[in-house]
Amino acid sequence: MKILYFGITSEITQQNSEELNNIKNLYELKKNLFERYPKLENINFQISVNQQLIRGDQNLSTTDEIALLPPFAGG
Amino acid sequence: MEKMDTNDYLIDFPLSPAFIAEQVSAQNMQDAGGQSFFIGKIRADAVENSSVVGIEYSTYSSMVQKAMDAIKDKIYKKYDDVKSVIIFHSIGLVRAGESSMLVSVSAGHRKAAFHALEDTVDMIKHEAPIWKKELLKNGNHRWL
Repeated sequence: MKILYFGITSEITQQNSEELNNIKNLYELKKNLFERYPKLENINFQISVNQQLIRGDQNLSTTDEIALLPPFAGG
Repeated sequence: MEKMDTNDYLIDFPLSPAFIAEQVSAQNMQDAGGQSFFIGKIRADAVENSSVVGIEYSTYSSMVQKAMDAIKDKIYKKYDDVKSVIIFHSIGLVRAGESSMLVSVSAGHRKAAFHALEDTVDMIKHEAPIWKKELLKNGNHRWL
């Protein structure tokens, strides 16, 4: 699955995207990310799966596009 | 001349005065009695003993497309009198004093044009996945 990083999350992870495998759900994904990028735990962000905002947990498949979305700031 | 992204709403770098004039004048509806527009600009705010020299915008382009489409749909549903809505937003670096967003609403009457404009701008700020990296004169930056 592809993980996209935006705003400050791209600065913390020092990349715009990466591929991850063997992640079953959003709970596991967050655990994985917080272990590798501890600073993400201090950041307020939403998660989208295939461009839909998700609240709570959700199962993931290998073809999903997941994005970390800090608060929007257009204008 | 700005290069159009594959996205209908995103423009690389600042919106030039010529581009803004072209878009506003192209919204030429014969049944519209009023046209309102908002141009978002970069302020040279004083920050951390320095000042803002520009903002670097980044976006989730495909999601911006969906969000802006949805915003326009909501405006058309809420305001029967609105005839057209145009939205353009910059991506990349926009310097202080330059323009980063254009929203224009044509409506049958002025009240719908004013109110729909304000609603559209508010929704863009809250619903479109766009991020600002504020660049300071002292070389530092901060995410807004």
